[in-house]
Amino acid sequence: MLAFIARRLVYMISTLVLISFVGFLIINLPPGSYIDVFQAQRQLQGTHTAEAELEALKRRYGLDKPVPVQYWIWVRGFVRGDFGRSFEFNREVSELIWERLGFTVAIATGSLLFIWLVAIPIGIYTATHQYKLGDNVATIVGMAGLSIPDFMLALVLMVVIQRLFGFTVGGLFSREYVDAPWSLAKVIDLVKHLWVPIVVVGTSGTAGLMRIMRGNLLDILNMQYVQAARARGLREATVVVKHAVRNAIHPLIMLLGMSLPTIISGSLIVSIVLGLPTTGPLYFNALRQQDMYLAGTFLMFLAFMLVLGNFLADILLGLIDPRIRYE
Amino acid sequence: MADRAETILEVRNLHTHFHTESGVVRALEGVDFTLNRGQVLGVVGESGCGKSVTAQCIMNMVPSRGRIVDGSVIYHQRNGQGTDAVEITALPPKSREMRRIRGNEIAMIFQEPMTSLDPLYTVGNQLLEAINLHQDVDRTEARALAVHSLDRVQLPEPERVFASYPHQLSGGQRQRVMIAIALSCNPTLLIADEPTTALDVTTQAQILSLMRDLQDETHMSIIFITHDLGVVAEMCDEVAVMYLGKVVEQTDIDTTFYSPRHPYTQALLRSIPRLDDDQDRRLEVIAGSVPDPSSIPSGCRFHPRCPDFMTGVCEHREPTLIQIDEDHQVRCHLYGETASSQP
Repeated sequence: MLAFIARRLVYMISTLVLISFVGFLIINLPPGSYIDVFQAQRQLQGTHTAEAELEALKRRYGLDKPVPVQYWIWVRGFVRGDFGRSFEFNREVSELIWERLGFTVAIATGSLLFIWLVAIPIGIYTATHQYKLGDNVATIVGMAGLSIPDFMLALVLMVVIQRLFGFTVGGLFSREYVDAPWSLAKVIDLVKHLWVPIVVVGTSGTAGLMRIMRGNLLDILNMQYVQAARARGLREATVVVKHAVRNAIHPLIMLLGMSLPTIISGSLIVSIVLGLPTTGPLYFNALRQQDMYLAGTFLMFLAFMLVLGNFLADILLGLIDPRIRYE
Repeated sequence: MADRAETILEVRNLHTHFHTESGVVRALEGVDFTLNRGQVLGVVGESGCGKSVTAQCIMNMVPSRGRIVDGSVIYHQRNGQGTDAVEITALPPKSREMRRIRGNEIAMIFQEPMTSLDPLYTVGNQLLEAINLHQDVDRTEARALAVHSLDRVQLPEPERVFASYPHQLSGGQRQRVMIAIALSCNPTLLIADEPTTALDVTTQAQILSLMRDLQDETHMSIIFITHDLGVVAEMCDEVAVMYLGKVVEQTDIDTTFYSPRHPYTQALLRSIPRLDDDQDRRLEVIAGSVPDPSSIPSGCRFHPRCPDFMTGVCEHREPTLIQIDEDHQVRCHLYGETASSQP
């Protein structure tokens, strides 16, 4: 198992190095040097930049040095948590992301938990009760959930809640709490707002995952070892949970690994519609405004989460399946 | 066995249908046979004739789309003095009573040893499952029993096999493990659903000889499902021949091979290749092919392929099971003038 983890770790790090090349390339892709862009941006905003400030930036990013050195400076900074500066906000990228990361992670992990806790039991139920009433109902509801776009669901929920309960659910806080210091009331207010994006983001994910779980489990339930377990006289629940579900969960773990980037990408469209202070809209704007250090940082983060997710999924699969472990 | 004629299992007029999107598949349409204690019954027939479904019915493990619509399976359970007749087909499949019979009274081994063990658990884990379920033993006793049953199926290094995962074993070893699991709780009836079909010839011979030894030792009854008449000749005391969901003939092994009465049994035997045959002779085949289960022929199901087809009778009336000897039943119009009085 240790050798297995070590091997995966080597893959993971080499992948990240490759991605960092691409990330750096993208940052340097827009025409003109960083300083030119920065100056142009400042001028557009009607402010003038002092020569001294420009000089400082030049030194910071090693812009007068050859490209490999620039890359090295960027990567070294990255490891230390210095991601460069945003042109648009004229602030450190790390500050910008850090501000929004908490809520993003809260919403994303909330919806991931929601998806798994709802989808897996329903998936198991529908597979073990194939074509019965419950399965058919779940299938119809699931298909509806899958086909309604999440931003649409967000809009509908906003209107319905406003009409029925008379409070707004956009954003994460009511107006009076946005700038207020943390207090119990503020937390309660947050929870009141938080469930909407979690349900919205979770619904489509739940529908998809439920169908995958159902399909896999149906396949596994037909396997001979499930029949053999039943023929031993095991309780049906033991047969399903111990022998079928654990075998059917494989592809879902890979899926979970691949959904790790969504934890920081923060469901873009839903966030824009609901006006949530997550990283999603920030990333979106960075791409539109060619705010390259910000965009590049996001890109690296997303790639990192994806690689990390796959790494964790591999380890989890190794723990579950001896065939992978002993490979 | 003292009383050779003591019945252990009766299958009566069993009808099992599967409801699929493309209609009802009548997998079993009249399966009858009787198995005596300590005997080995071979159930033979071509692919798709319902052999495996019959096994599933006896275990009361018919897949969810299938339903036993008529007939019964009666198991005679020993209870000290005599026997209790348990109607398996009347028990709910997931009930306690049924689960107490499965694995304990009636055990089963399967066709594909490569997929009969759960890949995620060790052999020991799956073996202990059965032992802990049916036997009142503590942990060390259970483990000792498990290792002993692996030893009993002649697996070398049973301790190592106990700790192995299925993928670390060969097909033959896995089938031995399956037999060990099946026999760990000393069942009185073993259902073997084509246990050697997926194995190579050498391994097949080893597994068969192992099963024969174990049968000699334990005197358990075995239902041996196969399409290989050579295996039947080697293993069985009685033979039930199935065609398209019906048992068409049941009798003892000698009668089956030397004086079979049903044209289908006769044709099956003719189609066995022989080593002493003239090399240029073509293999005998049964004319036509097995009809699709959704378009079953009228009357006798075998009539379109039957060499002894009687026009005006066979395609109109379904033959009933006729007792032509004390231990010989045939479902064929050739032997039943009385059948004409049936509706």
